Amino acid sequence: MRSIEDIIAQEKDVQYTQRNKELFSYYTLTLINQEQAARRLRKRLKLVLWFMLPALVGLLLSPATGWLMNAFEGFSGVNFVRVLVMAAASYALAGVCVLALKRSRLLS
Amino acid sequence: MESDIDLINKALSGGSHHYGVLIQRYSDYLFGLGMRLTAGNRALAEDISQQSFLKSYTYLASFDRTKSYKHWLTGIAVNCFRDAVKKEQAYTGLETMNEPTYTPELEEGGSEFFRLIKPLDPEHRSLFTLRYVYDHSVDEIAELTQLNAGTVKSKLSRAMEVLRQCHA
Repeated sequence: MRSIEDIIAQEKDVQYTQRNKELFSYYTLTLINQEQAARRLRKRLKLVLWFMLPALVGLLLSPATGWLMNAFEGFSGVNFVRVLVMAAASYALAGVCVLALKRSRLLS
Repeated sequence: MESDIDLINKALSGGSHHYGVLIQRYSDYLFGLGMRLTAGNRALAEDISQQSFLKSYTYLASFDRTKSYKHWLTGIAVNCFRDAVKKEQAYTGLETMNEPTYTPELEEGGSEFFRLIKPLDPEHRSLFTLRYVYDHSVDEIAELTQLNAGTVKSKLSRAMEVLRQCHA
């Protein structure tokens, strides 16, 4: 049986190689870019939330709150037309927000 | 050939594509280290080297440019190995909690070295590999593993003792 020292000495000469270095490098860089993009997005979302905060507080304190409460009460008797209108309005608002975010990304 | 520091400066100022050169330069080194730390588990070794590059890029701005990038990368890889072992152990059921949980699969016809270090637990294996295969000093290992030098010394002598018993 060979001694521990001999096995270690032999191991020092062994060279290990990645199976596909180019692919590994490309994939790792893709992951890095993905992570960076996610971080940028999180940063932007935080910024948007901070900007929206005063508007949200203002909305809660404004007389519009009463109107919104009345609108929500209206949901107790389900009116499908109203639900559809609300859904369309929500999707339109979401679309505008997405477009605005995309545009701000293009400008940055 | 551009130096590591030049490439790091370019990667920090000009984007991640410059980092690709560093990945290619050290991918074999990190893969070899991963193979030795995991006692021949190729998949885990690849995973560790990839995680090390990702972490290294994330903290690249905080890298002390007066030191060696390879040495810094080694420390990150050892930490990634430690995290991988912890993750592996976290998934173990209660009934197997007292048994050794981390059993790396040897590649077919795994080298004599992998068979030699198999009886060691992951921490002793990493210290042993750094000391005897990569010839790092005890102080360097202490810095890499965030242990104190005395602990490293005693763990190394314990690892050697275990190996001598198993190898006798």
